[in-house]
Amino acid sequence: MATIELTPKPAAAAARGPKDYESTVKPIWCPGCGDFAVLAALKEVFAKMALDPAKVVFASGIGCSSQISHYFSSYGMHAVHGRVLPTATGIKLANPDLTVVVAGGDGDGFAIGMGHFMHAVRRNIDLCYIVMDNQTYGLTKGQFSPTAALGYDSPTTPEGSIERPINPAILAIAGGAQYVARGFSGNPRQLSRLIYEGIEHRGFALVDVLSPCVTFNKLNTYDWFRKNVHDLDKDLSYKPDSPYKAIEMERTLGKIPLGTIYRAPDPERDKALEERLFEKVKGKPVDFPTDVQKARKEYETLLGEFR
Amino acid sequence: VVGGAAGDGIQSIGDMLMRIFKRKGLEVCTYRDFQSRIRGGHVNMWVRCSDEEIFARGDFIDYLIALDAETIMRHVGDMTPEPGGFVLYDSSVGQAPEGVVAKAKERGTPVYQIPFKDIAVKELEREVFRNVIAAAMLLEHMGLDLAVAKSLLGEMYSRKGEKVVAANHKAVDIGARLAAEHLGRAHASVPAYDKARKKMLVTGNQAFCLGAIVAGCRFISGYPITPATEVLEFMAEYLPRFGGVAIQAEDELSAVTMAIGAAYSGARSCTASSGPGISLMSEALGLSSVAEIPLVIVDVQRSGPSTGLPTKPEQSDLNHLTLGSHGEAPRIVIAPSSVRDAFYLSIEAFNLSEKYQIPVYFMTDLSLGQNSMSVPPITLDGVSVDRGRLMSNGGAEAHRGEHGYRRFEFAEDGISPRSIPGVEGGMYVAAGNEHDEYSHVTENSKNRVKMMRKRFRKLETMLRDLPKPARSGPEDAKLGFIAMGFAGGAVREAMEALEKSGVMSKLLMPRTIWPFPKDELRRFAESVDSLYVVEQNATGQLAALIRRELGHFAHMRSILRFDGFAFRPRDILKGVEEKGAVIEA
Repeated sequence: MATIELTPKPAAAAARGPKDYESTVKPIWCPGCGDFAVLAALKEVFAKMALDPAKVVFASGIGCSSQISHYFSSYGMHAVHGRVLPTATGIKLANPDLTVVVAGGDGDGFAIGMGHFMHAVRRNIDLCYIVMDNQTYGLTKGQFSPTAALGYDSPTTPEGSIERPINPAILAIAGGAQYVARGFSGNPRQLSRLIYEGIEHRGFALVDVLSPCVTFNKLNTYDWFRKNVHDLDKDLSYKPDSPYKAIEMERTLGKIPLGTIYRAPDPERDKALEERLFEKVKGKPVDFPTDVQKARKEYETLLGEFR
Repeated sequence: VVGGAAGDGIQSIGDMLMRIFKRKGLEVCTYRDFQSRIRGGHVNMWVRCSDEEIFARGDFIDYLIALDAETIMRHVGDMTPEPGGFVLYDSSVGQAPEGVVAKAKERGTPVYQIPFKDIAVKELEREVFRNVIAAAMLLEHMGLDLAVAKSLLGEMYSRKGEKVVAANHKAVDIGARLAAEHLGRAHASVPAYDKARKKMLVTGNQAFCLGAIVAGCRFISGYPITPATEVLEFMAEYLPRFGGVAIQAEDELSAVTMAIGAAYSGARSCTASSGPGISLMSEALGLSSVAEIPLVIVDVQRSGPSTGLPTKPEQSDLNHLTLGSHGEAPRIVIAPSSVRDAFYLSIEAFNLSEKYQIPVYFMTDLSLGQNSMSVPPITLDGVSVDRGRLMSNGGAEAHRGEHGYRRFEFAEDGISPRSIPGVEGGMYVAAGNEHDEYSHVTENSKNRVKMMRKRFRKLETMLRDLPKPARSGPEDAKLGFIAMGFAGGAVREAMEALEKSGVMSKLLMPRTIWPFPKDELRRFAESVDSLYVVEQNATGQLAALIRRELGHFAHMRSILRFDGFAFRPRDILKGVEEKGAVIEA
């Protein structure tokens, strides 16, 4: 697939730049951390999309990468460990007009939060979920995570991990996700494109980002990734339009594919949860009558049903 | 009381009786006793009616419809000592056990053994009609107009077609015939029909939901659990009409955090659960408390710990609701004093949670939540929505500082200006971490102390605003009761019995449990010579809380019950007689 340039939203394109989304909070990340690239890509995408910071909610879980919501000047929620997807689901369903971006780490999303991950995928709620996947627990100092390789040496696996890692892209596709991508902090240009597409996609989108932990993960380094990834953008033979081919490719390629892994061809696109919900429900939960007496008639009809 | 095996349609027959009594203008109160299984196992439903207000399940059974042997064996000892009561026993599978019949005879209770099932099969070709036949037999005996029963059955089964309705009507006629054959038409034990008494018939769970809708709650996320499931089901049915959404989450961790997310966006939201689910939600309670996001959690208490007796009533979550969740998280715990109160307190719950930006536990119990009661019609006079210090566009400007909007400004009363997404200039990142005025994460110790104090200050600010206790009985009575939820009903009826024997007593039901209503409870405790705290748990949690907050009272005793059954009025009398008791079936 050829590299696609980001197309700025025409009308408001000039109105915003990455700096408009900057907060006064300075990142706590180690120098060289892969998460810096994600932060930069996100600001670039927000600017290109000219998103109004008052109408964006940036929700994140708990862990190094989940600090990211504080580094934006938009609305945000730094939630409970593992529960960021349901939290974001509530945020979005209460006010579907909001753009809700979700971020977290591999421990947050695929260990403690795994149940919620599969259900968010299944519900197809319109969220772009960006996982900064460093195959380790950074904030608690380097224990193995659900995406850590077999043999990964860590304080809780002194003999090396004997548990098979999960593949988040395969899980998401198997759960019915309509947009699944893998980015790499070492390839910021592609990363911006994937995040842009993920936010634009109406429905659940997973952008799994290989984001090296330079302090604790001595195995999956920038150099290691560069040797072990396969850039689909440079591979014209792969078309990300079949879930089966996508899973097959993930399992058989022998390298880690980067780029758009699967994107449902438009006619097959399932409607997002809130589109299905609000087809029948008129209005949105944030708009409710604040004057009971004005809405009295409607409420009395309801109460009358219990006479 | 109607009893049989699960799957016998006990609840539908009970519901039918309840609705007929209610249509006759009578006060109604039901009590369901069921097990955690779909078919098999004993189930019974108590339907109580009166021309006076009633608040509890009764002391004794006047009429027992026993569809199986277990029902009669279990309940023969509960038959009324007064003359006039009887048992209708379905003898299709055989005669009732002789010992039981003898025991009934000893108590002066006749047992009519009638093969209801065989009659239904013979005359109507389906055994399901045995329920209607038995119920009609009783109604005829009670002197109720069977036309009311027929019209109700017509409404209930109109969807199933004329044939089904006709068969039901025929079943009523068969019941009337059997009554004439076996019982003769009795004294008119049911008072005259009073059309003026237009009551509502609701459960506590329904009353909460109706209140929530009126309060503007338009989002609920829940996970099925007895006895709170009906809250989610009710909202799923009614919310869409009002532009609201009900979501069945994958677990309670998800349910509670979805509700917090929706509240962050500015919706009024809630979740409802019971014991095990409440345990799972208690971590997120801390997020709601620290990030000051309004949240209403309904706990329809059931017996614990762990799975406990999942379909039996208990009031044993008080410690958990007032103290649970790690760290120190300010919260409000309120408890409706009756089914009707659940409506008004529900509105209060949403107002308090937004006004004070704090989680509110709405504490009820299985008996209050699931049982239907006739209540005076709910009026909306004086009902209002109070969103507290919620900023709209431009509102955040007055609260700007060096780093932007001060969402958690150190307000004197503890209540900082709150914004929601969409409000310009009100952007902030809600965090479970300790944070400064800008909601920036910090471990600064001065800030920590100030911010903790700010949050706890709200508990003082709200004191005058919190729901006041419900009281009954004369002020100068020297015998006092303190009770919560459904247990209060049994106490009120016990008080009537005490009054008849010349003893005046009074009852206080705290509608706010936390922050603890110190003044009211101290005044009440000091105004009586003997004080009974009536609660449905093993350790006397409310009494312990009173002691912790107010000190020791020599005249305070507990009346407890934790065997899976709700209090009856006579249990309270026994407790008084014995100066404190643990009641067992």
